[in-house]
Amino acid sequence: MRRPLGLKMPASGRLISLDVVDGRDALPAAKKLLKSSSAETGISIWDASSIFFEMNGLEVSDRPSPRTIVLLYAADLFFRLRWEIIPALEEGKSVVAAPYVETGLAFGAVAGLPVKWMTEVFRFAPKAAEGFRLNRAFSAKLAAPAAGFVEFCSSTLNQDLRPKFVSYFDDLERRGGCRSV
Amino acid sequence: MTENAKQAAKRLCEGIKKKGKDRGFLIAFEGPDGSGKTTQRKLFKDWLTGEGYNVTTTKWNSSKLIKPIIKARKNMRSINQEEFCLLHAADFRHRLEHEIIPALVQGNMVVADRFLFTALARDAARGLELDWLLNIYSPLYWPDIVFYFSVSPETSGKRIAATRTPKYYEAGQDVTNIEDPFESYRQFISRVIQEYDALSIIFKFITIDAEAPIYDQHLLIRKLFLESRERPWPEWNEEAITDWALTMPHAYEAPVGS
Repeated sequence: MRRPLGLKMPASGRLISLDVVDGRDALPAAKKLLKSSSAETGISIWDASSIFFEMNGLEVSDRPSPRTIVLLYAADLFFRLRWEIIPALEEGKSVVAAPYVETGLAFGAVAGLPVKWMTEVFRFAPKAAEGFRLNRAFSAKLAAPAAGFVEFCSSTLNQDLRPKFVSYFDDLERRGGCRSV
Repeated sequence: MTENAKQAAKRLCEGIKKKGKDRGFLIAFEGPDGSGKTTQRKLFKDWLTGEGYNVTTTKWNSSKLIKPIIKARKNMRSINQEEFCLLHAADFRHRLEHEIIPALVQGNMVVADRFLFTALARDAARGLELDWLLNIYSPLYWPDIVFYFSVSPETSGKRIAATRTPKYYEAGQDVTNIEDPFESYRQFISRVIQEYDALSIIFKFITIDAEAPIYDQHLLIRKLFLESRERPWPEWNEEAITDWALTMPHAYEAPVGS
């Protein structure tokens, strides 16, 4: 018996997506965004499933390719939706997902992966009610891979991808896909 | 994606095509648990080696990078159907890019103990949409031959029960919600076999009667393999090779061997 892909979005709560380029900014920026919220709040950040953390700890010389990274990001995002985001929404909370789908799509664009493939991979993820990006200059030095998804990808592909992510989010904002905070 | 990289990827595909029957072949052994495919895969690999071929074997869920991550989550029974699918797809993609395609480009015979059809059958049996699954595994790399070891759910169940208790995900307890692993396995494997049977028609598997004597199956596999050597390289694999060449550092500089 086939069932619909993904998870049932509760009618209660409010899902807000927040994309950042410096992973260390995710939590403070999410807190700031929720400061004015009258409802109870929740935050979901990258790698709650610890997939990437565990992978960093393995002594394996073969690095994952962009497609493999996207599949792992999607697995982590599904975990976050199932255990953090949806349950908090069911309790009527305002939840910031930092990062959410758009960061995965940004990486796909940066790595040259087909848009159609990327969109279909993330089809399970419910649309956020509002989308934001943290618009500020990134730090001079790239942080360690465990700091955030952009740092992980930069380390794996051996190049600082932050400027490319910034360009993607600039373009997204121009198209009305998100707002700056 | 630079023009140079695209051209190099095209040359790589042409190099593989030119090798004709001397190119590397990908032979997949598929079927439910307890169908005897591992036994046949080992016999076939030994025979190929004896015939002078360079053979690379690849097994399901075996990449050094992702297997430990999957194993830990299976032990904790903490993944659901979509996560199960995405993590196995990541493991598959990693092996395809780091083991399977490089071996094929070098001209090796690659013998796969389970291939992407395992994921399609199991994940579809878990209720996921086939279209989404096919996209997750895209770009697809099609084997030259797929041997499908066909057994009844009863035989599969009996063979597994004779050696061990099926594990939680193997028994499909995550979807059947049946406490008894043997009963859960019986129900789940019936669904998996239904999916395999449908895939075998769509993708033209070579069906082997896995209840026939072991050596008879082996001789048949040898014969079918030799007959298939004249087959041209499946051109729809060009997309997968090009994708590999463009996303893996230095991959497209690989020389095509035999």
